[in-house]
Amino acid sequence: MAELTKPGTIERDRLIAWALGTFHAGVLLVTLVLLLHVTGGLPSLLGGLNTASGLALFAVLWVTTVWSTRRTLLGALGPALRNEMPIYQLVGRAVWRGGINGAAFLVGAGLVLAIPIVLSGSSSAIYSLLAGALFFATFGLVGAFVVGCTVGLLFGGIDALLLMAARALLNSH
Amino acid sequence: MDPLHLLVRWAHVAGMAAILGGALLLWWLAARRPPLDDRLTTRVAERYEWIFWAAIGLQVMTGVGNLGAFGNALPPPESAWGTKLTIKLVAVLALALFSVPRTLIVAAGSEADTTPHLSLPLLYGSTTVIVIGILGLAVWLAHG
Repeated sequence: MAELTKPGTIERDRLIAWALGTFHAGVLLVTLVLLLHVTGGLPSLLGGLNTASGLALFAVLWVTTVWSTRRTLLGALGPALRNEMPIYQLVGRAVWRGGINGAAFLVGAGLVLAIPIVLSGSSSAIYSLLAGALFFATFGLVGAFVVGCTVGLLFGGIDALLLMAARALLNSH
Repeated sequence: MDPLHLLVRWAHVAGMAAILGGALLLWWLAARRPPLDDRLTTRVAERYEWIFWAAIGLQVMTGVGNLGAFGNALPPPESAWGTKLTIKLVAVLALALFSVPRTLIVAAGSEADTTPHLSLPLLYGSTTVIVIGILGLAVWLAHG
């Protein structure tokens, strides 16, 4: 356990969380864009979202995913990337953290999308926003948590395979 | 063109330059004989991995931003341009997938503060080749 608190290990874990968190957020978005593109649904989505909102939404996803990945990996890897906990426990943690990430992203996305509405000063738009916020705070958060858990399970499995590949390369010399 | 779209395009090109330039530098450092310094390559590689993933996030963000400029006028997937876009998106996914083990190996090396791992020339050489392929696809897309 003392090895985990070494400065080198802390720095290593920060880099791994940064890389895996960015990998998760980036691959998720590119996969969604690819699926929408091949099914022909991309133009209508792009037509309904302005560039600034799109950039801000991805920034929120990126920040919450890196944070959630860092929490998932806390103390999970020992020297030379060895597992410090059983793989099922690590994947279980990825599922839970994925759910929290989904809910955190929904809250962040809601704030990003609410800013222009509030700035518009239209009372009817603000009333609709409050009604929407009530829906998001109940059903939306539950839905986002479930979707986040599913995505967390998927990426937990992919990460476990990528860690195995890295260990195999490390041990090959 | 409005300033935001110009900034998005500039960031996309700058991010690609950082990814490709760094990969080329690391390939040269890792493959160099005799090596410069036992730990120098590991240190530079560690810094590069931080920049690489920042640039990947930026590429994804600005890449979708660039597509957003098309809006409803985005060519369909069955068109020649649409097929090129499909290939480019798959290549980006492949680069991201391939890069995780590379980062993990560099991170493990920096933790131990050891000499560079023997697979680094192969990993950075492969990264360079994939990135040049994606760059080619991007130029092909930009010219219709």
